[in-house]
Amino acid sequence: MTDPVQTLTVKAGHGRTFEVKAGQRLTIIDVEGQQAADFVAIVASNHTEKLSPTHTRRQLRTLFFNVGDALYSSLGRPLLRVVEDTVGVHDANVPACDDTRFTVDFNVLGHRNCLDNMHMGLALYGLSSFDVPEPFNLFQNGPVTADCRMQVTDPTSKAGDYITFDVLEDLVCAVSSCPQDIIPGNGLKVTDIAISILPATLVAA
Amino acid sequence: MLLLKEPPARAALPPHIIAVPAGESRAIEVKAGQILRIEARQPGAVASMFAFSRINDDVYMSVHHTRVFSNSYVLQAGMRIVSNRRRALMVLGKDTSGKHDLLLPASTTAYLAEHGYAGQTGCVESVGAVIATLGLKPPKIPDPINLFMHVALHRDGRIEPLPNTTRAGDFIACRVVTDMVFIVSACCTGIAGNDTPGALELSTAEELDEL
Repeated sequence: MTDPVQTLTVKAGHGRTFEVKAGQRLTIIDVEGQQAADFVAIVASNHTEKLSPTHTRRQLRTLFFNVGDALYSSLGRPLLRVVEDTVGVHDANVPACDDTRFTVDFNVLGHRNCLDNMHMGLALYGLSSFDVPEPFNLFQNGPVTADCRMQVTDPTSKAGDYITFDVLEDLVCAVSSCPQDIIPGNGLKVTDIAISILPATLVAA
Repeated sequence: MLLLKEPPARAALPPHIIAVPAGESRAIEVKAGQILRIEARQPGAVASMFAFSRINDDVYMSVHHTRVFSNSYVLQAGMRIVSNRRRALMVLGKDTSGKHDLLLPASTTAYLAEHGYAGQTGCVESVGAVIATLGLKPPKIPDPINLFMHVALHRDGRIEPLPNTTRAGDFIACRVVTDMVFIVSACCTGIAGNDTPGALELSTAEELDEL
């Protein structure tokens, strides 16, 4: 008997923390389109080793990644491999929005933010907010301009677009449906993200 | 010294110079209002820069927040270098190099050993030792700003390491606006073309022409 496919909904502007095991297949879905999903992962057996956009950039020698590429840890080990991607545009540059993103940059107090969304669940694993790694911002769109600036613009993703990873290590993950509703990034309309975890037995079959 | 309306809260400090041997890391204390100058003393030197607050362990220089504060993948003159709390620490005011990296991680001893640089100390370990010596207790060692590292960023996102063309005497200078301890590493970066450590000089003064 195989485990059922596990599905989770990340409510618009909120976060979810979950575990995945090596051999499983993880899919993150942009339910309504134009919604960034901040994604972080920590190695289950060693919480000091984390998924790292910075180390992934060094390994892949690109800001972006393609189907077939792995995403790497702070120790340079592959943790996930991209096996399907209906969008092809993701960001690995922008730190998670946090309280100061809204208080300092946008003059707003008390705004929901990705760091708190992701830390809320990760705190149950004994992790501090400083232990939450830099995120991969799935579906987020930050094109490089001619003078190497980052264009601030909306995602190209449409309803139902998704990215699927082969899970290479047991991980604790968190996803935040980015609550940014002020600047281009989520189409000025924050919406749900869905997560599906396919059991290892089904992947093997 | 900043041109404040009221008398400054501290006395002027004399210029201070710290030499960073190739392959090592050193710290320099900088007070708000001072100039921080970082100079390559040998051709091809790269300076991996970190900074920490002495009054709040949880505040440190953040390369990631610096990129997004200016919506820029590269460091350019006039840009604010900010903390993880998105507050300005200093501004890149003088820059004879124009080539710096905001995207790549610090080396570790293990990474260097695996990539053909056996026997060299990683930037992370070297900076970690300086942090311990200073009694700083940051929650983590953040990613660095790699001054003088030559890496091209293409519009398709490709990151292309280039042969380093830093000349002896190239420097950056910044007016610092927050008291911070800077730690600068001249360790091997493990990045192609930028992997020959060179000596650096760190200096502080109230005004640039004192240096």
